[in-house]
Amino acid sequence: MIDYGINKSFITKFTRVLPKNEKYNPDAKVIIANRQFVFNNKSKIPKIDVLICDEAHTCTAEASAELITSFNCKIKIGCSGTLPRDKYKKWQLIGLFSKIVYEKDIIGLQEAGFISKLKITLLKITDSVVEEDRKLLFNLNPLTKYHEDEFGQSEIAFDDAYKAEHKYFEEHYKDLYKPVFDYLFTLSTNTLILFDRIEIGTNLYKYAKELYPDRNVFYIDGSIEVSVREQTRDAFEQSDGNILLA
Amino acid sequence: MLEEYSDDLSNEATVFPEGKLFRICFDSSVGELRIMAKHFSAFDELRNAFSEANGGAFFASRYGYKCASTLYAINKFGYFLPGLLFEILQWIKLNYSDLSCVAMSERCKKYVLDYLTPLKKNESILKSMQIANLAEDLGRNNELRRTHEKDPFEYRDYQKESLEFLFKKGFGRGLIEVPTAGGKSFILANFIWNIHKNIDKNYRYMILVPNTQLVV
Repeated sequence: MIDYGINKSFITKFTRVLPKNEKYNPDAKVIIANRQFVFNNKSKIPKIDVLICDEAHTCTAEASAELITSFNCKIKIGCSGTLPRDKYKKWQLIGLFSKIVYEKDIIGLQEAGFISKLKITLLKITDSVVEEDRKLLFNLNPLTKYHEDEFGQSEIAFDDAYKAEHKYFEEHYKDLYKPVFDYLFTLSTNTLILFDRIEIGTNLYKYAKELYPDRNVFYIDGSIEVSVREQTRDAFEQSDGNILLA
Repeated sequence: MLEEYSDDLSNEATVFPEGKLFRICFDSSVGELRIMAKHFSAFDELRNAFSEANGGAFFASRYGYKCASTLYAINKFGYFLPGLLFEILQWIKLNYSDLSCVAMSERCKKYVLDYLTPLKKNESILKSMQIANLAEDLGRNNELRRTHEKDPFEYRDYQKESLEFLFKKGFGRGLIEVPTAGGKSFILANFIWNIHKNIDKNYRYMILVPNTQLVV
């Protein structure tokens, strides 16, 4: 905001760690604060007349919604790049901020040249084992891998499917991911691969190193030290053709 | 147009005057709006229209938690978050042809106007208001034109349009969706600036962000 010409004394920051030589000024007209810190230190905040909630799509959690409701001000707006698509979360946000007054889609901005166009390549990998398994009740298809009995119990079915999926991945990840890595290593750009379970990530990391030992492949999960993360970041900033599994 | 009724909820005749199927009232003890229906089936229908299957229930049950398989935006007593009122009225209008079947107290109507359209009282100012650009007003753009440090901060069509909508359609309440890198911070800064410049110079503003990185 200062870059737009607003005087520094007009704005203050309210967060746990402030940059050196900066102090929270409760008399400033604009307070920029992170939600968790406000939640724990609400008594330090003066009366607010206008509440603006950035990244409003993250306000659907109960604690965030309570925090927003607790501000007595009438003028409240929320802005987001990705409003939730599921109805309940959307109603929650509408309940907090009132109607959606403006929506601009990304395609329009891309066409107008304001935002870069994306090139998306989909790799469809079919596997006879998976195709066959789709026909089963407890299978690998997330839409049908559980069923509810008359008491609404579904844990056993899910556990079976979860274990089956895990076992399947362990046995077949090389077949599934070879075409993916072969494609990725033809790219000259940096690549990020996101995985959802650590055991999958570590297997893929080892396999990528095995396939292309000369290429830069990095791995990050919660246990990786900051210094290693920094090295990874440096590599990504300084060169191309890197792959990060995270 | 909604007719006005008293807040007397003591008996059915006053809650649902003749020809009225729904009653909307404001419960000041919880700060929420409440909707009641003369017939349970109508209430059920409305409530179901604002419900969705809870996808997370299946996963929660896996970890031993019990949670509802359906999520309702209107609770079983009829309470809902105030901002949802317009959506509910729209649904009633769609399903009952108009809003003549809704009874709403004067107090509730006042609350709605005051709380959900806070800048409505400044409508005459808003009508004639030209959306200002703070970078222009504060001389930052002149500085940038002189130094060529970067391009001046000028509105893109949709940025100005979103501000127009926030002021003239939402009257100071509402949600806007602009894609990542679409210039949301410029919109927000100018939302503040336009209120400061045109509505009230004494207002204090809070911008809530989800994490420290966005603050600093």
